[in-house]
Parts: sequence; structure tokens; C-alpha cells
Amino acid sequence: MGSWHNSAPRQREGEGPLEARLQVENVAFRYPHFELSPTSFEVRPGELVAIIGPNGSGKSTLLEIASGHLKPLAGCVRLDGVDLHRLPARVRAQQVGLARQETILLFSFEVREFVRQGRHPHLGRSLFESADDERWVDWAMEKTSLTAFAGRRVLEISSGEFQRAVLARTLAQRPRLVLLDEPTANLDIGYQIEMLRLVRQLAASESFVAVIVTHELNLAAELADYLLLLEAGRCLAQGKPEQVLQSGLLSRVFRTPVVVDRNPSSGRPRVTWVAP
Amino acid sequence: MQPRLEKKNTSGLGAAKKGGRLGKSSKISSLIAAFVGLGGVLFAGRLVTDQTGRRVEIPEQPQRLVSLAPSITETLYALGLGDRVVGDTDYCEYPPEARQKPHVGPVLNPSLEQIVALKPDLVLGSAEANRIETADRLERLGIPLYGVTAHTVDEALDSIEDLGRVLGREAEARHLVERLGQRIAAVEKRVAGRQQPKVLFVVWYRPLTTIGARTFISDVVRRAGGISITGDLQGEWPHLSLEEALRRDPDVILFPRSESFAPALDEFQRLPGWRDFRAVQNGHMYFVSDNIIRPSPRLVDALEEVAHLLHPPESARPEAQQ
Amino acid sequence: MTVTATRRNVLALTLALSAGLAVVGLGALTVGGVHLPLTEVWSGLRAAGSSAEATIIVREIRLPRILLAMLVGAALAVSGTALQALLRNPLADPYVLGISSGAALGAIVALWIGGRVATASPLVAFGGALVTMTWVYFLGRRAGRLASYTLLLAGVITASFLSAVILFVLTLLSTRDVRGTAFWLMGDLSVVTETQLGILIPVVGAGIAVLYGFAKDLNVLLLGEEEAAHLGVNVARVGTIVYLLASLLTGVAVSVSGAIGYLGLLVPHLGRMLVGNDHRTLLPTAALGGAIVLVLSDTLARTVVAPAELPVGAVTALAGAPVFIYLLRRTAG
Repeated sequence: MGSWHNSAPRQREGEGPLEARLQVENVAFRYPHFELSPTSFEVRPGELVAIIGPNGSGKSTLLEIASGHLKPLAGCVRLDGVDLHRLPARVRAQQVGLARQETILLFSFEVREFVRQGRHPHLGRSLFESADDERWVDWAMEKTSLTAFAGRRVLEISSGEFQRAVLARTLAQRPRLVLLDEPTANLDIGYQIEMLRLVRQLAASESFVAVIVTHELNLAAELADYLLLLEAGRCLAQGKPEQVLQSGLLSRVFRTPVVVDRNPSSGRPRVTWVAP
Repeated sequence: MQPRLEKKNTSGLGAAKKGGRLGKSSKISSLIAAFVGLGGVLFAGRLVTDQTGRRVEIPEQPQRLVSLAPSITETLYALGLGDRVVGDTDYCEYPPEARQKPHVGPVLNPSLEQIVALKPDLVLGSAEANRIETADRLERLGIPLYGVTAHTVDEALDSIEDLGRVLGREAEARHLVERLGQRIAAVEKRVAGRQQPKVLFVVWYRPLTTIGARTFISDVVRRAGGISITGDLQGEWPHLSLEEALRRDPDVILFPRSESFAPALDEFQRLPGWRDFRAVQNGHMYFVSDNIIRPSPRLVDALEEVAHLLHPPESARPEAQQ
Repeated sequence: MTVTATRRNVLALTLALSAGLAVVGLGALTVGGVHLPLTEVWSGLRAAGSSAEATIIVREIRLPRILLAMLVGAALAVSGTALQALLRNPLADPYVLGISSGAALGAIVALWIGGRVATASPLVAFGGALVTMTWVYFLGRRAGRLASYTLLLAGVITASFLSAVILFVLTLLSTRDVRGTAFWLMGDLSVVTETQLGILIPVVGAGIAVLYGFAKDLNVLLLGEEEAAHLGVNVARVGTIVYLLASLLTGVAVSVSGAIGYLGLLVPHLGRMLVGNDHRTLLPTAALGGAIVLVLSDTLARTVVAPAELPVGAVTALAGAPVFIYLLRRTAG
């Protein structure tokens, strides 16, 4: 991946404090058949936080609340001290990028057009993208190794490439908070690692914070700074990977025996499912 | 359009005969006559060919008639057969007594159930108005349908006579047709030799739909002393472009009147294109009663009406352009 | 093929297509039962009477008709494009939400009550369209807001229902009056008053212009309602405005010219094949393309079986499908 120093345009005036910080305080929600109990966590500048847990534990709900999109029944979410739910949608979209399972697309865009949509919150009254907008699009595509795909049609690329395009679109928003729901679902293992590494690296270099929801426990263990373990709408544990990834806890939550040891090459915890 | 009863030559008329009447007066002949007469009584019906070329078995003296077209209902009453009519369509409104008769539904889709319930011994239909499916299904139910058809005024009169023959009202039919014929002849005499105005007959104005050659509207127009400017177009109800209609420069424009199509004629003086017709500018645009579309006795009323419009008795007549 | 949406490209595209439209329009003015050379057409337009006949043909018959074709073609194509984006459905067309059925029913009911046919029925038809538009809007809301899925269902159900009602009313009318419905089934461009043109030009122009202001929002809407919301689009507000504008465009078009089919479905897709899915280039392409296509179709309808005329809706259907198939195969390869 090329050096971003040369391609990245200047930061715009008045874009807020250089270091982003997310504070989720006691947010709670209730669906007809599901309840998310008050949960709090914080994401410090440059950090990548992973929310893990079995299906239906409320991970996606928590993510959506953290994005400012879903208004919680209690509690609040602050990005750089600003309550996200109070912001108008367009202003919020300038700072928060949320990428999740996409609606099925029936219309074909070129990849670059698709990524360019990420600049929409910044277009304001103008109908067309400025030179700066185009440069951010190029930057986002370069970071996700999609430059060669610029002219390809979004409906013709593989699902893994499509997921990268979605990430590129999110990055093109130049958000201060990046939220990704199962960003690695269709990627092969090489790309999974590469993508999460990229997100983490960019979080540090571009001063944003990232929260991801993932099923991949080991990926989270390797690349996240902080974990949240949810079960049935409650946060059972949060902290560094070593603190959260305990075999007894995980075995109970996932209802299958696991063993947690140490990955010799990285020193991070490693989760292994025990054969029945 | 749904397929209609086949339109054929009316030469099959001659095939309709009463059975068993011979002219000799010898004893043997009388015996034979009695024998055949007996056979005629036992043999409930006779096989005839109707005006559309279908072979139908009809009773000697049909007593219970169902009419499937307003023109036929009118004719039946004119022939004095009103009391034999046991059912007609929802749209049979003339004469007014016809409205009181039990209705079997609309013309295109009459209710077979209701027809059957009325126990008719003969159903009468029109090739132009009714569908062949109706005839076929009635046939399968054992109910005979006699079809009439007409494309010219003469054929319309022939239909009336034919119905008279089939229904045992020959004399009345002949008398009626004679009277109608006289009226027609009077009209033709009056307009003979006069310059024939060019007529545009507008069936509907959006899109501009007019009449082809082989319709009896065009025959009515011709006999009333006019000439239809759309006689060269294919089909019965061809669409004509406004531009072309303007180019043909009709002297008179006629619309059939109906309950719902009743715009003020002066509206056309405001429409681009329409207002450029000489006929519109000179006020020679008229409604005619919708008798003109029905091959019934009142068709002659329409003929007289059109003749009156095309050749008014006084001097104010539409100028026929060279 | 994709034409990138830059200011310069959009301008160039619009100019090129406008020039094409002008050429097609002028050509259509020369063609008809009487072939008029361009010089005659020109003097006819200016009413500098070389021949009164030419003036009448050009100004009274062809010009209003061609102008109407341009306006209706543009309106229907743009409406179709907008609805395809709003409903995120490539099969959507201007009539899928029941507008044309509502307009037809309005006019037929007016016919039934015995109203004055020639000039008043466009008003009644438009009234029918408005009522239908409002009805479908409120029926298609979910949790008090516009939602594309329920809107589509509400529209389809309403359209079917209204068609059934129309059939019912038609069987109540006497058989002869059924002929008037050819107008609603196939459309007709032959009759338009100066007043109607005077209303259509600003309404269609303004409608398309305002919709164009939402072009970038329409792009984002294509990604999905959730995705659009996450990119800052007020989906309910934009959806409502787009719905209103598309319905308005369809309503005025249908009230004056009947239901001309296939245009609102095919032209947006022709546009997509030529310039891509970005509405900043697609909308002008659809508008001008729709105008060109309808003028061409109408010219064919007027000349192919001259002196008779084909219904213009039949031509759009017959000619549109093969062209579309050809383009489809070319781009699929």
C-alpha cells in the first residue's frame, strides 16, 4: 500500500480536535422481544474496539446506538464531547461512518462511483464533487487496494472486493468514528487480517476511533485494543483481550468448550475450540 | 375485438322455407299433404340457414323470443311481435315497452343462465353486435340462435324481411319494408343530381376514428346524398390523422350522439387543428342521432336526418368546394 | 458505459442531446401526410404565409403535437427514473403507483356523468391523479413515514383496484362509449390547446429542474434506505418530495395525452446504458432522451400507415422492445 503522506489532502479548517474519542454511557434499548441493558464503554484516540458475542446478543444494536443512528431509551453517546443523537443526520454523517451488511444492489455503479458516494455528506449545497473530494476518494481506494478496480462494475466484483469497496466508501467520508459490522464476513483470511490491520493503522494515523462487531474471536484478539463481550443484551466483560478472553467465560457464553492460550508469535490470546 | 358471427352472403335466405305446403288439389296430393302436414307437426322444427351462413333448426312458430341486440328488439316490435318477446338486453330501450321486458344482460356478454331460465324457443342475434361464442354455447344448450347481419341499408331492410319470414310475419314485414323503401326513395329523389357534400363521419375524436367503406353508416351517407371522405381507408373503424382529415377538406362533419359524448360543438372551434376545418368554421358540424349505427327501422329516420343536414330544403346548404 | 458526473460533462451531454432534440423536432415538422421541405416549415412557423395550408399544418397540427410529445416524453421518462430510484426497483414505471389509473378513472367518471369532454376532462383526470397520489402516499406509510417497500405495494394494489373499477364502470356504460378508452389504453397526442401547453411547459420544466436538485440524493438512495440514512440523507423527506414530483409529472402528462406506455420504463434504462446510474447525468439524458423517443414514435405513428394513424402507445411498445433488447445484448457482452 502506497504512502499516504503524498496523496492525502490537507486537513480542512475547523475539523475538530485532532484526537477523536467516543464515550458510550449507559445506553439501553428495548425491542419487543429483546432488551439491551445499560452498557458503557469508551474508545480512546486511535483505538480499535471489538464487540464480540453469540448471535442475538445485541452487538449490532449496540453498534447502531453508538453510531448515533438508533436513539437509545436511556444514556447517551458522545463523540468528541458532542452528543451524536442531537446532531442533524448530515452533520453526523460527516463524522460517523457506519458500514454494515448492505442492501442488495440492483443498479450497477462503477467502483469509483460507489466509493465517491462517501463524499455525499460533505457536498453541501454543491451538486458536484470538488477536487478535494476526488482526492479523498482516490486516497480511500488506494488504502483499500482498489485503485485497479476503479472502472469495474460493483455488481461484477467478488463479494470480498465489494466489502473492501464498502470500507473504502466509509473511509472516503473521512469520519472520526468508524463502525464496521462484520467487515470480514466474506474475505479470505489474508484479506481479513489486512483489512483489520488497515483499520487499526488508519485509526492511529488519521485520528479516528473504530468499533467493529465480529465473530472472528482470534482476529479480534490479535488486532483489537479493547473487547466487549455481550450475551443476551448484557455486557459480561470488557477490557483488554487477555482480560476478556477467558476459557471458562467463553465456554459458557458460546456453549461449547474452548481453550485459551497464547499465540506464540504475537503474544496475544488465542482461542481454540475443543473437539467434542 | 371479440370474434363476431361470421358475416356471409345473405343468399341463404332462400333456404328458409315453410315445410309441407303444396299447391295441388288432387286426392292423392291431399293425402300426401296430410301426411306431410302430420310429419310437419311431429317434426317440431325446420332446418334453415341464417344470414351468417349457419345452419339452425328453428321451430315452426316460435312463441318465446329472446333478442340479443337493440336493433332486433326494435324490429320485432315493429313487426307486431312485441308480446312474443320474453327477454331482451339491458340496452334495448326502444320502443319504451322493451324496457319492461326481463333483461338478459349486456349485448356482448349476455347471461346464458338468464336466457335459459326464460325458456325461449328462438334467440335472435346480430353478427355485428353479438359474439359467435354466445351462439355456439346456446347451440350446445339446445337453444337455437338465428343470426342477422347487414352492411348496407338494403341489407338492413332484407334483414327485416328475413326476420318476418322466419317468424311468420311475412306480410307485416313486407309492408314495413315497402313503407321504409318509399321513404328512402323519396329522399334519394330529392337529393338526386345535387352536388354531394364531402362528409367526415367521426366515430370518436381522440384518437380520430372514422368509418371505412363497408359499413352501413357510409351507405347511409351515400344514399342521403353525401360522399364519405374515408371510403378508401382499410377496416371498419380506421384511425385517421388530423392532418390528413384536414387535407381532405370535408364540407360537413358528423358525430353520432350518445348520452355521454355530448361536448358542445363550439369546443372544437377552440382546439388547434379542429378549428381549421372549413366545416367547423362555417358551423357545418352536426350531431346525428345514434339510430345511424343500428340496422333497425329507425335507420331510415337517421337517413332522413342526414339528408336534411346535407341537403337542407332551403337555400342555406353547405357549400361543396370544387 | 459511464459518463462521469462532472459539471463539464453534464453540460456537454445536455447540449448534445438538446441539439439532437432540435434536429428531431424539426425533422418531425417536415414529415406527415404532406411532406413539407424545411423552407416551407420555416415560413410556416413564422406564419410568413407562403401558403396558408403549410402554415396551418405546421402551426396548428404538427407543432402543438410535437411540443406535447417532447413535454410528455420528458415528463414520463424523468418520472420513471425518479421512481426507479425511490423504489429501488428497475421495473418501476410512472404508472406503477396507480397515477394513470386514477387519472383514467377520473376522466371516465366525468364522461359518465356527462361532462364536457373536450376541454374539461384533463382537469378532472388530473384531479383523479392527485387523489390517487394522496391516497397511495398515506396508504404506503410505515410508522408514519414514507417507506419504499410499503409504498410500492400500496401503489400496485391501488393500481389493480382502480383498473378493476374502470372495467366495472365501462361495462355500465353503453357499448359504444367503450371506444373512448382507447385514449387511456394507448395514449393520443393529437389534441392539445394552447392553454394546456402553457401550463405544461412551466410545470414539466420546473418539476424536472427541482428533481435535478435531488440528483445526488437519488444516487445515494440507490444504495439502500439504511445506507442512505447513514450517509446523511433524510430519506423520509427526500422520498416524499421525489414521490410528489414524480406523481405530478406523471399526472399532468397522463391527463393531457392518455397513458402512453413503456416510455417511462425503457427510456431510463436506455439512459443507464448510455451514461450510467449517476442521476446527475442520467436525469438530463432521460428527459431529453424521452422527448426524442416520443417525438420519433409519434412521427412513426403518423407516417407508417398514412393516411391512417397508429396509436402512439402501440409504437412505443413495438419499437421500444427490440431497441432495448439490442442494447441489452450489446452491454451484456
